[in-house]
Amino acid sequence: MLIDYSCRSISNIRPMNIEETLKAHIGKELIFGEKTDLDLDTDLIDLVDSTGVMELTVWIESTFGFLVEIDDITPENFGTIRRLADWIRRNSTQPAE
Amino acid sequence: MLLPDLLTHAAARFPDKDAAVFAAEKIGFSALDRASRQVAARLARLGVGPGERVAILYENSLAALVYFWGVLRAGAQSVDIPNLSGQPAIASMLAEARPRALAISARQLAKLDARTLEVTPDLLLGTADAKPHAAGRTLVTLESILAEEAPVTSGPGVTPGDVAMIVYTSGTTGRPKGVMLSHENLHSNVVAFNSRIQLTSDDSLLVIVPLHFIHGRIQLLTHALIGGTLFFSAGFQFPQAVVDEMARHRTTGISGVPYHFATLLSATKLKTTALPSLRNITITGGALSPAALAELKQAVPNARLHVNYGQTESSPRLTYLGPDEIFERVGSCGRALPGVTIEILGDDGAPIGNGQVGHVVATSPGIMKGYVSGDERTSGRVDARGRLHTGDLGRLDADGFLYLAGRSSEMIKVAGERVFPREVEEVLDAHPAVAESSALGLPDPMLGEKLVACVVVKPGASVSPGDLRAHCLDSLPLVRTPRELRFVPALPKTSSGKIARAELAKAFTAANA
Repeated sequence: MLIDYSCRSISNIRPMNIEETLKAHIGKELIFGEKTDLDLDTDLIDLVDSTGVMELTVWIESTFGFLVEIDDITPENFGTIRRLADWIRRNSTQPAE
Repeated sequence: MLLPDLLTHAAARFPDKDAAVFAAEKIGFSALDRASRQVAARLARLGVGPGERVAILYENSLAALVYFWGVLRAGAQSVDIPNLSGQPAIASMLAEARPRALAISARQLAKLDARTLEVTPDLLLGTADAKPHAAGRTLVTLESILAEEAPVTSGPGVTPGDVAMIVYTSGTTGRPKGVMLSHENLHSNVVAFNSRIQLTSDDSLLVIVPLHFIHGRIQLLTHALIGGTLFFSAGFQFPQAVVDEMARHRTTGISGVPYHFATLLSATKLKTTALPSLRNITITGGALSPAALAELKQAVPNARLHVNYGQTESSPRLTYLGPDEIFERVGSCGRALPGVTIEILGDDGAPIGNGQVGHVVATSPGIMKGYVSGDERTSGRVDARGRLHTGDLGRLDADGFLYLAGRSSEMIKVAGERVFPREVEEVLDAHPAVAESSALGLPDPMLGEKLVACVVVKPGASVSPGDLRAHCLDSLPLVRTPRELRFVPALPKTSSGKIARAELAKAFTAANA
């Protein structure tokens, strides 16, 4: 498969790297490629369509090791990489920074 | 009957009723009618009228709605440009349609690249927030139109047979096709379909599709016909929000493609949400599996399920399957609408008997006037008798119910959106490392079909799947970008040199198993 959904535990991802992990994945697999100026506050709602959101949800579950609740798939949580990373931290078993 | 007459009548019958409700703004029928007449007045002063085209490149919004009705009211032709298209596709549509003006949102205007700007008309219609992006072009704002113009009172000066709308959709050659539909085409379809589904002014709808699709436009026209309110969803990116919107607005209807309903069933709390107002669910653009239909009925027991089948080229509906038939005629997409004839032809073009699978061909007052490119006949889409060759394969039963059984064309349907392999392959082949490629649709439980591609890399060249996908996303929206890419040493060919897609699809599926 092109998209690597192999399961990785969040314990392998250092907290400071959540943003970078998200940025790399979203930039490369969902949006315009690595050359896009994607920053932590770019509005993802403009860039990712509905199938992209579902794809991202599946990837988050496998990468960060928790089940995404339906009520959590909202523009508030998925609107930017910064908000997505904050929400992942709150939902993961990773100790707070 | 002209399409703007639908709005005139709705405004006369329900002047104060909401015509359209967006997240932060709304408009009543009378106000919408007046605003459309003000836009028509300005267009007339600018010399834009019958026979001329005004392209619309907008997200669903109040301004987009007002401009659409204003263009029709002016007797001009609206040209819907899909807002998620890549810049090359937008430039290609503008270059072909050659509109006199472009109605465009600030967001879309900011995105136009140099090549697209070369083919963008000098006259722009927008809102005041687009001013910083006008780049020397004349930008007429809706704010100024509504403040300054006296509404026109005369008719648009066109006949029902004149083109009203041009809707761009995917074409077999890889280039988008502009489908020209007349006032009569669309009006006949709206009336014929409503004679079956029987919506009234008590009905309302949550709009979850972009208006630039024929699916969106036909909902707009239908609710003008009945005087029903359209509630515009914030979008389908967050499916649970769509369920919440239906509950909050107490909408009586929703219309979507199978992908939408498969998603609502699997990724939302639809099954546990009370939606007592929801009484009409319309499934268009493909078959929902019998199991999913049953699940949907169980999730929303009050709702009547309606299925229809058609294409942009037929304005768009051809058949209808009602709630009383849906579980009796499992797998059917219904019977021909009033005025529509469905025939099944063999490879020799002669009609074949009931029960046998052949080419689905339709006669209908909704069949398009033609393509903007003018090749509807040479391409075989419309024959000498004016019949539309749908590119679908199917059979009719003894009672006239149509059952689709695949496609004779190479069309792929991803989440309800049609994609032709050539448009994807042209983009892939343009990458310097790619020798040749083949795009395929593989069955997918959520998307209907998943777009994948096999790529042959040039000797000595190197490229990663991620790079190729990023390359595609420079020109194509996500839905038209292959979800999976596979490198192969060569593409299997038929004896005539064509790519053996079926063989390739089998190999792809086997490798994924």
